[in-house]
Amino acid sequence: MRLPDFLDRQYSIASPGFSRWRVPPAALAIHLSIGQAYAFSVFNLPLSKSNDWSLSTIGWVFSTAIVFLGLSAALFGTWLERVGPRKAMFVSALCFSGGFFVGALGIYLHLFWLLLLGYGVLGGIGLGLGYISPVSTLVKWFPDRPGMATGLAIMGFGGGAMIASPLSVRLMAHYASPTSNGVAATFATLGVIYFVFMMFGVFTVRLPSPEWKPAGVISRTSPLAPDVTADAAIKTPQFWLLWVMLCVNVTAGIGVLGQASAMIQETFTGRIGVEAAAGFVGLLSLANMGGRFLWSSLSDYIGRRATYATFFALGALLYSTIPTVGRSGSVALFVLCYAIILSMYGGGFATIPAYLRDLFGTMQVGAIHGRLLTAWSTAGVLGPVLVNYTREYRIANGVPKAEAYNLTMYAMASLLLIGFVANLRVRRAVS
Amino acid sequence: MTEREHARNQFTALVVSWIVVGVPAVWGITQTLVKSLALFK
Repeated sequence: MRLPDFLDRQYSIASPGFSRWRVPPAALAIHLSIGQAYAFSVFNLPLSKSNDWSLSTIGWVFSTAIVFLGLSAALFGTWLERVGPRKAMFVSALCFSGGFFVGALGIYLHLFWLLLLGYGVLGGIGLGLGYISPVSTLVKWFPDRPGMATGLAIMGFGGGAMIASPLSVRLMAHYASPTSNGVAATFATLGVIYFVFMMFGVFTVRLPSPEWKPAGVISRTSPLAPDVTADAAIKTPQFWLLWVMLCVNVTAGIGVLGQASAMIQETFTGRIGVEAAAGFVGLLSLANMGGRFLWSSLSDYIGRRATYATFFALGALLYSTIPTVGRSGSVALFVLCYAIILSMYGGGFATIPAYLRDLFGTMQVGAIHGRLLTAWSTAGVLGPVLVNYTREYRIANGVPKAEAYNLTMYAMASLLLIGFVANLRVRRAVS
Repeated sequence: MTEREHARNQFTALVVSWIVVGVPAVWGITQTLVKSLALFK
């Protein structure tokens, strides 16, 4: 069989006796790879030192990648449903690893625009395609536990940085020489590693045959909705209510995640150093990853609406409590509050495909999910801006650093209340 | 291929698949856990 034939949807259909539990590893291979994006910051300082690029300039590479993630997921979602997950995963692998190679060339030649074009644009397209490609397949394989299945895959996106960060640091140390800090070679190596790992997902993924049904009971909380096309879905209020919910949930979480290290050091000045703050960031990453699996699995039992109601109500409560917790001086309580918040941030990402499936059916859930991810791109800009600028404004107005984040926390709590109301207004979609 | 052999092959493929993604994931989680211990020192 030729490779183009192998990638076709018709050759991806599972044979009788195929275990559906082989599909989550295929999805994880993709998501653990593209989750590397969250670890891009390990390159910030080395890139800044070896080139004439400021940290804020380098920050545009990650932002561009997230914007192109949302755009490509929205644009290519319908194509993905037509050609099947295998071809989409293959194109994702080509774009994501290609982004590393073009980026490596940009770093080697000291051309920032080439790095932006490579990792930001090409890699961002790979991110978007890779993010949505296994999701609708998993929803089809696990109609009885859609939350758990998509949570398992999307957990990989949260965990990808945990592999990429130490791996990148080791590779840079390995390639470092008196004339180079090894970033370009690290980029090229990561391009090879991720291409091979993603191809494992390409070869492993299968679609269920149309007649296939899982043995056992179908989900007790979410009977299947009639199938709605992506074009029809975006014309419904339900889609836009979910868009608002995802946007506010991500805005609240992403702003905190980006500033976590500085935030804990400034809140507990003299008690928390750089190393402990790095530990705090690591702990939040674990909470983010674990929350993706735990909350989305729980949503199969308590329902999607109750899960999101918990995110928004508990999240708003915790954000409003943080200024008091900070003043109380309890580091443990501060860490616990943020760990719960970040678990719900991850849970929000992981539970949304199952919510979409409940409302719009499984036919084009990947395409609808892709369009919904534009909310992530929006939040990717809103969150950091809200946290960073409010902090700078408050410090410029004489507020002590330890209290500079208080206003932001109340703003985040208000945002989550908007999400709470949006969630209450969600009703089943029309066919 | 008999039904029994088919089932055995499926099981082997399933175990291998989870090992391929599980090993790097566990390595990454361990690295992060070790790093986060600094917070409790």
